[in-house]
Amino acid sequence: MEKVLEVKNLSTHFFTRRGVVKAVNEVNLSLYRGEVLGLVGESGSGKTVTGFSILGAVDPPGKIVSGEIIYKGKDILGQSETAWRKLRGAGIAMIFQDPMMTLNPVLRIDTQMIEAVLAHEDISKESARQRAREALARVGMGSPDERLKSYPHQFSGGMRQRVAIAIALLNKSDIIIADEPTTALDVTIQSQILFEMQSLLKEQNIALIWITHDLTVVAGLARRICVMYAGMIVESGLTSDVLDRPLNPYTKGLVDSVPSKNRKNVRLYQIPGMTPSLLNLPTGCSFAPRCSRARPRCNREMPGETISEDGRMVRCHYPYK
Amino acid sequence: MAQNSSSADGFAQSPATYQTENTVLSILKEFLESKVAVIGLVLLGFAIFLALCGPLISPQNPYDLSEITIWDNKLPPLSAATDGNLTYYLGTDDQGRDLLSSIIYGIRTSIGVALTSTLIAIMIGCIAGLFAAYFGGRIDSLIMRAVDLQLSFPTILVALLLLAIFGKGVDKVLIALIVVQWAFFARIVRGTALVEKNKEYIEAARCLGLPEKRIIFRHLLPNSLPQIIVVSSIRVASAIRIEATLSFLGVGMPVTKPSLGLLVSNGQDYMLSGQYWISFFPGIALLLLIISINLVGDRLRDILNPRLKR
Repeated sequence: MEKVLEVKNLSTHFFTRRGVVKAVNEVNLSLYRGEVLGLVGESGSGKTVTGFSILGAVDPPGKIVSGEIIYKGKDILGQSETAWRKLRGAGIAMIFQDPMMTLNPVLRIDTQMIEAVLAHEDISKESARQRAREALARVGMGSPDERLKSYPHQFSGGMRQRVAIAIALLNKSDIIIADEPTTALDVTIQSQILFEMQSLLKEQNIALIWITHDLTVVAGLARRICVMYAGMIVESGLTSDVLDRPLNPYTKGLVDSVPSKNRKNVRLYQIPGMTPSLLNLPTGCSFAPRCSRARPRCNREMPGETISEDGRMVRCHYPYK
Repeated sequence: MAQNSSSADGFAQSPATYQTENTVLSILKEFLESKVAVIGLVLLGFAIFLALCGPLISPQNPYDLSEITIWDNKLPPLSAATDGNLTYYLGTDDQGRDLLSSIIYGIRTSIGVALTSTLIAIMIGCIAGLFAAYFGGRIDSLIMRAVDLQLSFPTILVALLLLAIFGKGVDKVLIALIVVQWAFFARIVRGTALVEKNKEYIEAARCLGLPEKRIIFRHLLPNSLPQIIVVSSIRVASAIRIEATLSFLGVGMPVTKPSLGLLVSNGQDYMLSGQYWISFFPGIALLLLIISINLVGDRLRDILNPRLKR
């Protein structure tokens, strides 16, 4: 399979007045054409910043301090702002969490879709509109002609998210980064959107990075997942492996925290303690203070990336076997 | 968040069945609920009508020398002209001009100058405010320090200074009014644009790779405009006031194009010798004009600003 994206040693820090917030630390991940990669973690674990870093859209005081982002065999990190602009929305597109907020409230859907096409291609307005119409139809919108003339406030949340997905599809991107796109929707709509996404990805051979905190969504959708904690990827591998036999204690805690419909009246597991402040991370493993398997070494040394027998990456001194 | 997801995805509803909340009609309806505002609107409508059709309806053209007679100077209100075919309802001034006609022409000048200068000031202010908000950093500091500097001097002082340097003339008054007003708009636009800029749709537009020019003017600008519309009505009134003050002090409009302020100024020598009408009626016209704009502007602000809604 062709690798469309490879992120090597990416670190993104925010230089605030209170100190350096290390939002993303030495993240490695790769993405193959047509696959879905789940990026899982709690709020504040750096998932979204990772997504923004890949798009080169980290705003000051944030800065990508080191690493490489290789898109189609080329390191794109040092490229000019113009080159970034050409890449955004055309090579790599993004879908956001809150569909209520991602569309401009004062512009009609067609205006917003047409300008997204015209920003990247020099074609006539009419053919841009035609493309917008097709994209809307593809995401399962009935009567796209009528919908094109509507304003965002005339749509429900689910429909707006479909529009957002349609916009991401407009320019035949290779990669879509979806930042919790179904979190703000209710479950029935969520499953509709997930279904739609699955078939679209298969059809168009698009690679998708699905950022979420919801393991159940990722379990059904992603081929591989990366689990993030405090700005680092602590475990990555095939979804089935990672979720069935987690190696990292944090992943295990995360999996055990998901309510199951088969266990009734059993108290849910919760990971003790709180996520550490990214302002002053502990010197050793960031998860050590909350970890039941932690030993003195964990507080001293940051665990490096190790590859397990079944080809998974795990960052832990004492992983489960 | 409020309206979503109850009817599965809203597919059953056609777009036509949705209702927009703030239609022009509903705003008008709400506007008319206040009696004071209606009075203001009627007055303002009348003033605008006079400004637009002034030359067609005024009894004489007070600046056409062939139409005025010096013999008719300083006639009290309701006196007849010596040639008999005209009644001076509001009297005449020291040159024998019909005051009613002068006032109609004066309203035209006052509104014209105030509107033009405010519109240009809004444009400059919008661009400055949007750039400050969008680019932030050094550009923001630079623009906003200029705004602070501008606003730290009393408006009338700056205008007086400018006109003292430039001299009289319509264009100079326009420039002075623009210079003293743009900073207000820049500050307001920056404030709203800063809020809008951090909303997700701007982030989304950037992640779509839209050109910055387009993000600023197509996405940021329309969402920052409502505030400006509300403030601008009040600012037009203050532009009229500033211009009247300048003209009254003798540094504003030229004698050939008198505004209401200049008319008041023309009559002030005769106030104490009994010919009160030369200053009095233009003054009343100026007062009514400013009050009517303020009444309408206040009402608009109450309606359009959801925070003031009860």
